[in-house]
Amino acid sequence: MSMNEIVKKLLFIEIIKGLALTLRVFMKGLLDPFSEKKTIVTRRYPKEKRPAAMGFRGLHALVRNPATGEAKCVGCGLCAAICPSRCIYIYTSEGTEHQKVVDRYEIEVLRCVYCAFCVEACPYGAVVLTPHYEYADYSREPFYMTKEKLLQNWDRFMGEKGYDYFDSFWNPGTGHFKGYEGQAVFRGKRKTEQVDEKKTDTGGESA
Amino acid sequence: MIELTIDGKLIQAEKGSTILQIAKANNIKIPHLCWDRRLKPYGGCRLCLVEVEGQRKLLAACSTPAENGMVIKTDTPVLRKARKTVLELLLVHHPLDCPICDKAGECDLQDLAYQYGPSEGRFYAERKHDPEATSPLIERNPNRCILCGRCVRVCWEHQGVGAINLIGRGFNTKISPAFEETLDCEFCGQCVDACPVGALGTKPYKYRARAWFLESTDTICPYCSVGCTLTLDLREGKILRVRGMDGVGVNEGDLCGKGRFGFDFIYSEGRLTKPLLRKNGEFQEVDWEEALYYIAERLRDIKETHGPEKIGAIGSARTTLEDDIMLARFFREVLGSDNIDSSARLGYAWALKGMEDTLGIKSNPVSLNSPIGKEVVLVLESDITSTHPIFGLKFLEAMHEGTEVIVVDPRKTKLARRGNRWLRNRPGTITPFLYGITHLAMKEGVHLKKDITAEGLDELEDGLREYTPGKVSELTGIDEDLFREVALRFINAESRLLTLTLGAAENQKGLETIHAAANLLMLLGEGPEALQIPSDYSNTYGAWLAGLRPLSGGKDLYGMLYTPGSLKALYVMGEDPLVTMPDAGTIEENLKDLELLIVQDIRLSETGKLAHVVLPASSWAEKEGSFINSQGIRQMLPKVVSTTGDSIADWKIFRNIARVMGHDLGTVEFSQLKEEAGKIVPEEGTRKWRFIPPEWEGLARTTEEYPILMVTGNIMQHSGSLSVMSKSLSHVLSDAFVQISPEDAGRFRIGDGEFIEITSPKGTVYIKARVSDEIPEGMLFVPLHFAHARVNLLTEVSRDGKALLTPVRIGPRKGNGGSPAG
Repeated sequence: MSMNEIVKKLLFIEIIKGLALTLRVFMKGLLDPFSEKKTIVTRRYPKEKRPAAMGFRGLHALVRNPATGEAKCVGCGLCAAICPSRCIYIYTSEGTEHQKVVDRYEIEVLRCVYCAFCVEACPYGAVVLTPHYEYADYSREPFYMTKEKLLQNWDRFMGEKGYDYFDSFWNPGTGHFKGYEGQAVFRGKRKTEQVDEKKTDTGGESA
Repeated sequence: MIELTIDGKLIQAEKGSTILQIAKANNIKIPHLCWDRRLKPYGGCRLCLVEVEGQRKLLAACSTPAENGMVIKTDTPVLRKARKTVLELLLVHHPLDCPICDKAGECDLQDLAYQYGPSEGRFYAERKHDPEATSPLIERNPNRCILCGRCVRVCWEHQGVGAINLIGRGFNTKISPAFEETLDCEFCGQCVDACPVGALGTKPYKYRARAWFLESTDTICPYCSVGCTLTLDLREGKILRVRGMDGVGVNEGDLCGKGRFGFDFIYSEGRLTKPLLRKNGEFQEVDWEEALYYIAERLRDIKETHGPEKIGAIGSARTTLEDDIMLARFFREVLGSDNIDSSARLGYAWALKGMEDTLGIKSNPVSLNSPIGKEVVLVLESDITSTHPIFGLKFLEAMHEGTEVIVVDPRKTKLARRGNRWLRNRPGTITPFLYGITHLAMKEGVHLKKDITAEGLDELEDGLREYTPGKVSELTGIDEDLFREVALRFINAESRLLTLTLGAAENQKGLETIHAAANLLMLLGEGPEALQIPSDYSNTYGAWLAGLRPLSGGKDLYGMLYTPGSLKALYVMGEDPLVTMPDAGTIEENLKDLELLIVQDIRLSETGKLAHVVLPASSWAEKEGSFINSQGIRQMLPKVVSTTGDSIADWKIFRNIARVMGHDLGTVEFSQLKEEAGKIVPEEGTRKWRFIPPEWEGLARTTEEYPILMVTGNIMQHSGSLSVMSKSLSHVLSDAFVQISPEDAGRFRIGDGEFIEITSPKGTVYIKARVSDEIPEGMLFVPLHFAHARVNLLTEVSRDGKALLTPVRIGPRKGNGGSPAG
């Protein structure tokens, strides 16, 4: 161990350096909180919401067919078959026109593991996981999704943008991996230009 | 024996079997769609192609007989390519609606397409979009059909119906009933099981669940005494459909309409959920405790004041063996009464008695395969394909293998249509017909065994002297020469079989018929195996063996139901005497006189409506148990679904009443009872043969006032009073009817579907007429199952087991008002 290192250790140079950085960033944010180059990564969560990334797996919804206004689901049961936690229940029967009618389509959300296998298995693109993630509640009942609730989820959380959902689900583009504005990202010590660019883009703090 | 190599494996096989059969027997998989074990090779689907060394072309394994020294390969690149092409061609027109199709997940075509198929076909054509054809129970989707013809061939070759066929040619070929009308067949559903794709399905299952949601359990059919194994497919504890599994059970995968569609009686709306107690003339729902204490108290009272011989019980032919044992034990051990009987008394008991009188045997279980390999089979005034459908199929199978099936029946039954010969006799004259053959055998049977040691031969000969072919022809209405020919054919055959049914619902055969049949067989040197009489219902034979009959001088069914004042209390378990037993008027009067009538059933039956207490019992599939079928095989039934309401198993009810009455029957759990039931063995007889002289009196002859003979019986879709609870079976037949010949319809000015009035010396009923050429002139055929028709008000009961055809007069119904019940 060289003399230099011993001195550094005795005088806590490295620790002071680190604290200085913390202080600098803290002061920067304190003095200019609304600058373009955001430096604060802490969000004031309930007031300020994080946008979900494309393909985010949040609350479930059944796709509404714009032509009929009904669910697209035909009740083939492939989602229930693939579901690893067995939380999808489908009950069908014969309708008045001898067509197949989905009477009940139910998801026990508390048991779901958000693998999105159901979305992958569906041959009609009838079930999705919406970007909605704020659905904590005090009882179990609201987590039992019936067909009507699932269709409402579509209207509330997907609606028009839902039609882009499957594009981004099946053919994710580069942009889908970029993350959102202000996302705190740990990108390691790669010194390539691209990483540097990203760093400036997002303005996030990285080590 | 021949030797051949399949996929490098040296195999020995029987000569004459096909490559596919040998491969199947040796666990070598060859794909196929149109082949079925039960049918002749068809070679239509071309998927079972195999390579045979030295053959330039690929051969269809299903229709190529194996030869000695063949070297066969079942899986090569060439074969894969050929099969792939076949599948591609099949899929050109096949709709890709697997997400909707009920067959998805268990579809042969789907599986093969996954195994061989390319993800994209090379051929494009318009996919078919014909409308679906619906019928009461069977759904046909012509688009999904791949024209393998399995349904057509099962229907015709195996089932003997021929309701559908291939129509058109080329791309326009389709499967359809005649003239593309709505399917109207016997609804056995065998075609549905045969279909390799989703072109045929059952209505109750349509769009109900996907194949992978189902769990399967095997159980035994509750209807007839064949005792078929049903594969129940359940979803979340509810039975959705029934299938027959190839090679499973005594039926080896064949099922009839009752077994396949009749399971839903357990979901009938009329099921009892709570005990009912009559208070101030009205039924009130009470809990078990109140009902049991009431029963215990009343039974104790009646036993003390009138004695145990005034208490009687009627068991059921459809409850499990264990239930029957508990009923018998409860009555014998707790109440000390031997007045126990079941509906077997009216039918099967006479068959057993007849065989004991003559052949000296106390039980004669049938063998389902008995017709196969016989030279001549004689079916005596019995519609076996309706009452015991799977046993009936064996007659058709035997016929295909060269047996001559001769049917003697006034009704044009399926066997009459499909059998080799059909003699139309007058109703109820099967006994003189048998006498005639016996007479002929004595006179002309030069081959007869000389050493007949059985007693009574001389009396028989004396008695039969008058039954010359001419006389028999006069009595039965069969042409004399034809009779002589058939009789001699039967007498001179190498091996022969006589079969008839003797059910509680039938009134044209009786004890004397059994005697006559046994006489004939003994004279020809045949043993009991040549006389096949199946018992009625799923556990008729079991109830008999379990002791549901007076064993030490108690009153039998006649003594209990038809003798006024013989009883003060009656316990009826799972039986509806008012509907299923003859002379319902007398029964009703006697039941109304009772101080206590306890009815234990799964629904509020007609008898239950007269009861003081009605107890809800668990039905088939809701409790464990066993049935003894007509072959004498005890088959276990698992508990498959949960019980309805508060109902509990019949045996538990007896255990509980005994407990309330302060007796411990010692049986707490089912396992104890199961062990007890396992010890039941059929009784052996003396096996001493004896001829019974003729005793036929030509009973119930028509008079001028009552010119027509009414025959009662079971039909294809219904048996007993259980099947009318089934929604599916009621889709096919829901209303009572009487079959009448076109001649009589013309004579009495009756139109098809009109209500007619039938009057017998006992009473009058109104019932819908169906004009049918299945019935000869001077005869009516009425099924007994429909409670509202009350046909049994007309019939009579014969205490000595004689056949009692009911003479009636008919006429169009006057006016339109009034209830249809008489």
